Amino acid sequence: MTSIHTLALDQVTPGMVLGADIHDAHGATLLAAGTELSESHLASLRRRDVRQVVIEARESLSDAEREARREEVRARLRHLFRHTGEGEADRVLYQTLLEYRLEQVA
Amino acid sequence: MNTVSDGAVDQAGAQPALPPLALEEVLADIRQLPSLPAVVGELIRTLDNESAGIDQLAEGIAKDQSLAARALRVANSPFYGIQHRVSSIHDAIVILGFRAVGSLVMAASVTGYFTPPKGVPFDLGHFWRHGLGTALCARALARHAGLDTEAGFSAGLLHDIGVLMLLTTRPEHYARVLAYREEQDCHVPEAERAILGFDHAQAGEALTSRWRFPADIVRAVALHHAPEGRHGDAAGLPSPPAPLMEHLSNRLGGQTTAAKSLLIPGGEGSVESRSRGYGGMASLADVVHVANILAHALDLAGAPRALVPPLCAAAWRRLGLDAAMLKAMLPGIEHEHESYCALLAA
Repeated sequence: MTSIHTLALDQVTPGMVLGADIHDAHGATLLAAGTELSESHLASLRRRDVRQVVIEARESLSDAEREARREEVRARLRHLFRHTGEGEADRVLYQTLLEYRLEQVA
Repeated sequence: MNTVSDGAVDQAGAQPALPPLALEEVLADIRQLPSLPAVVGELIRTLDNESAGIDQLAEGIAKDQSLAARALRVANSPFYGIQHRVSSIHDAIVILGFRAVGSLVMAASVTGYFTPPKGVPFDLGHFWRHGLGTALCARALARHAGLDTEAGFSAGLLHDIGVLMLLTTRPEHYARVLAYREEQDCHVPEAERAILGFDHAQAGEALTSRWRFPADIVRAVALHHAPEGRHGDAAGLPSPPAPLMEHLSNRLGGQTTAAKSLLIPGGEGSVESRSRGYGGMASLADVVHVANILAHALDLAGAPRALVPPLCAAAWRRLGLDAAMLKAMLPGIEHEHESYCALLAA
């Protein structure tokens, strides 16, 4: 299960994984999403006066917990789509959202 | 005298009758509303690509301290990952670009414009989380379709503005709409047509037209539930009774150019408001129609009883999206949404 959180830089510890790219003023990527932050990364971000970063939290779940989460995802999507249309486009949208949400749990 | 249990069994019957509300009265309400901040009027004109003095406009934004502060809060959010704190509108324009800052300021302004009355069960936080979510989905879809991204953002942000206007100006009537929607678990426009005889897309069309938004944005607000036009097959929703445009062209003197351009049926929008996407000519109305549905599907409002409306197959086809392209857009939209919701904090 991954989830995205915004943390103040002083709450970030080495080993945390970046959830979004960090850019400089010209749009160049300083650190890419997915980077595991080291102490030297953090020192560099402090020097650059970055205040907050987006962190991706990975929880380790048991198989049973993961299946329970996946069932929650399916149930919520069924609820959201309870009065949707019956066309091909509606089906593609539902399937895409279902895959996207289930991958977040995987 | 009703007993408590009678009231519970037959709530609708126990409510005192409200006089019917005509669309003309809503149009009259619009003329009574306070005007938008002057700087927003300027920003609206930049959406139509009219030349606007950027320096002058930046100065205008900076003068409105609370507006500027809320816009800067988003510019400073981690989504943009700027290493130095952005402390002025001028810096934000340099870093993010003028039109993106314009969109931010517009969002900061309109999200604070209406204050719904207390006592009506309506969650303003959910409303604007959905509005900002739709704006971000529309920006991503407009980019994909080769349409103007900031026109997409504004049209997405404002697509449901008619809800907020009706709720604020006619709270007793709108409370009935909300109760009906809760009871029937139906789509909002169905509840509005059952109770009021018209819907929030019509009210939003009149309001954005009054605010002099460009015609393609007004049209997208008007048609976000029915991008094929109100008399087409639309999204499987029943057609509303009277066409709004007769009212509008009669009632909104001086605004008839924008109003008349809306009379063009769905298939023949103006050339400049359309672009060639993978599946034909996508319009801003197509973009906002799909953006609204995508924002609901992503659950961005956080409303427990959110409901995904049916997709218009023709609009979807014109956007030329496939499952892989759609899926690739979703993480960015979700991350950016978290940043934009900083606008809503007091």
